[in-house]
Amino acid sequence: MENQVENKNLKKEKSKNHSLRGAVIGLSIATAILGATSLGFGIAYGVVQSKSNEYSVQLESVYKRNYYDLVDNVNNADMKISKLLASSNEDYQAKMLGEISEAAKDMQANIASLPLTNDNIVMSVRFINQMSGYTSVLEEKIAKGGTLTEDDKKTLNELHDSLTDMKSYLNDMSRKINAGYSILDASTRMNGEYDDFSLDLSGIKSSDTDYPSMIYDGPFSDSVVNQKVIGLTGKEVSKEEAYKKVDQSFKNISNLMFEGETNGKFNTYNFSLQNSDGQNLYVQVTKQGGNILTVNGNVDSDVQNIDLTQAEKIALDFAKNNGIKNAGVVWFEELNSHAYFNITPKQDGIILYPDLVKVKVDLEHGIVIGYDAISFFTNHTNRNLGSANVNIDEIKHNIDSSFNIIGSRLVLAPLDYNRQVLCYEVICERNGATYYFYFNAQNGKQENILKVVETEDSSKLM
Amino acid sequence: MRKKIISIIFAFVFAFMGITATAIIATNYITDVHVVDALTSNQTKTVQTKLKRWGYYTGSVDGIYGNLTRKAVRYFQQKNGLAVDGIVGPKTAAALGMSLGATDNSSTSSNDLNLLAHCVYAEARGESYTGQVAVAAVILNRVKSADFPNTIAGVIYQPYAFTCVNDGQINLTPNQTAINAARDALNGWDPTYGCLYYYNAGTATSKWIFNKKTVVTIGNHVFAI
Repeated sequence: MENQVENKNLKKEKSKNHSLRGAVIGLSIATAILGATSLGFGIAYGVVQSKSNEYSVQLESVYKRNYYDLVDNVNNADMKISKLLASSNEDYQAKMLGEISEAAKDMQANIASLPLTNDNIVMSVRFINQMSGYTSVLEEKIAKGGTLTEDDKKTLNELHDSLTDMKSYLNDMSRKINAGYSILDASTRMNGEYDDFSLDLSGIKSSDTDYPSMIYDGPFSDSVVNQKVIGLTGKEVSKEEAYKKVDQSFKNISNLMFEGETNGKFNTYNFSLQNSDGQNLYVQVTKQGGNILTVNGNVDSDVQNIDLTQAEKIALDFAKNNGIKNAGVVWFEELNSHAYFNITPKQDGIILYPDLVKVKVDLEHGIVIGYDAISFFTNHTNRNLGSANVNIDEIKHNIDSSFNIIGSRLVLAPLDYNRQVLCYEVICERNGATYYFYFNAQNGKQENILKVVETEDSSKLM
Repeated sequence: MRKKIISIIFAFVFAFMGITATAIIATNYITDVHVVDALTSNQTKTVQTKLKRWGYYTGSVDGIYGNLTRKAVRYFQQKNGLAVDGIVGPKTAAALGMSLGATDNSSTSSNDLNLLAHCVYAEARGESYTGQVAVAAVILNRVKSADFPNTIAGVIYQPYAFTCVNDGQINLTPNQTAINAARDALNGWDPTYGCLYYYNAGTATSKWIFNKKTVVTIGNHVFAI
């Protein structure tokens, strides 16, 4: 009996021990899981943190590299302008001008890779781009036998002064960066509307001086950007007249609506309308003269109900009804059931490329869904074209015999920077590639070569 | 029950074999077609386009290798010292500057078009077609402007220039509409006449943008110079 009691007590003790042990084990497992999880999170966090640090370091390195390159290029250009101004040898001047132009191009690329809010730095970027264009135009001038005029030298001197300012500011900032200034940190620290880095670098242009104006016809020059419109004639039309014009120009359309005005290089009334499938077109009509200036639309379709010959007629008729007289197709392309036509008017049989009109025809519905007469209305005027002084046979003689000449004609060619020159266009083919040669019809000099480049789905002239 | 399972398995196996066999036959058939008929409709169109541009061909570009096309090919071969057979074989194809293989190594990749289409899709896919062309045109106007980088990639990836680059939407695959809009802009279409900026009138926050001269409003975007 006593034994029994003892046994019972023992059992009781055992079961008590059991439940205690269970609790301990449970707790340990829970602790282990918790520990493992937090260790896991910890490691993951650490990995993310170190990755993110790694990325920051890499990004900072990219910024610093571009910054230092910028400083190098500015120092370089500054030194080369000094040498240029010191030299009286034309070959050496041309060499320096070419190198300054290249350095300026690189400066621009360096600045564009830095985290800057553009409007703060825009005057300096413009200065740098124009310096590149201006010096390359001067280089070309010397290469053609010209010399630097007093005006050129004056502008170059002013350019030098601006560059020297820029150089000393950038070199000061270099010292800060050397001492631990982080471009990345500064660029993410906002100070009012701008970040610190943009504010710091805006000192590149001192506020009390303006950059010199460079007057030239070349890349980035103001004369190219601000080309004047000379092709618009006639009196100003009302919105209602413009509406009527659009209504008459398109068949089978609906929902013709006024969409506001454009007030820029061209002043237009804008309309939207729908074709029979409910797809939208956007049409701009010039206030002066009431001409359709552009049509813009898109039809996603594989259906083709008309062929290229029919489309060509639609394109030419549309152009004719909108004042593009005596015109013909000079280039065409068919893509995704759209046909693209380049149309030019002729004067005395001479093709006027500067007055090019582009038309896009939807091959499913047979309507014009794209039209661009911007070049026409910018440039078209009654010109005195002169006549060719050189015989076409002489020109053909100058083309390498490996080319197979397909045809030739007289054209007015738009060359670099608003220059329009009467040229012989000679179309040649070699090894399956098409080339367009342009020879000055007055002196026989080669002005340009274009090559037809086949891209993945279309071809273009380059 | 067991029988049923076995018959189902058999049915599956047969069905699978059937599909495989069809696939094999189809593959063979396609290869055969290639061998028999050297030019696809698209390749015929390329031949017709080239010959039409060069003045050998006057018919329409329809992808059908008919008599008129054959005649033009013969004329081209005759003019270029090739065997005159009216068939576009490897030599005639080379003279025409086209490759008969599936990939045309001589073609230039359309980097600019792709990049532009990506940016248009990411920035303006909710806008009208003209609104999309306008955004592409702004990018191209920036390339030409002295105030911005001088390449399409330079303009698009300029830090802070486009929000779609910051939030990664630039990596979305563009649809055909965005590609067409990018192509139209590359062809010179510009409904904004040289604008360098655009902003969403409802959400724009920078104050300086409001100082730019507004040229035109298309959809939600205000285009300015």
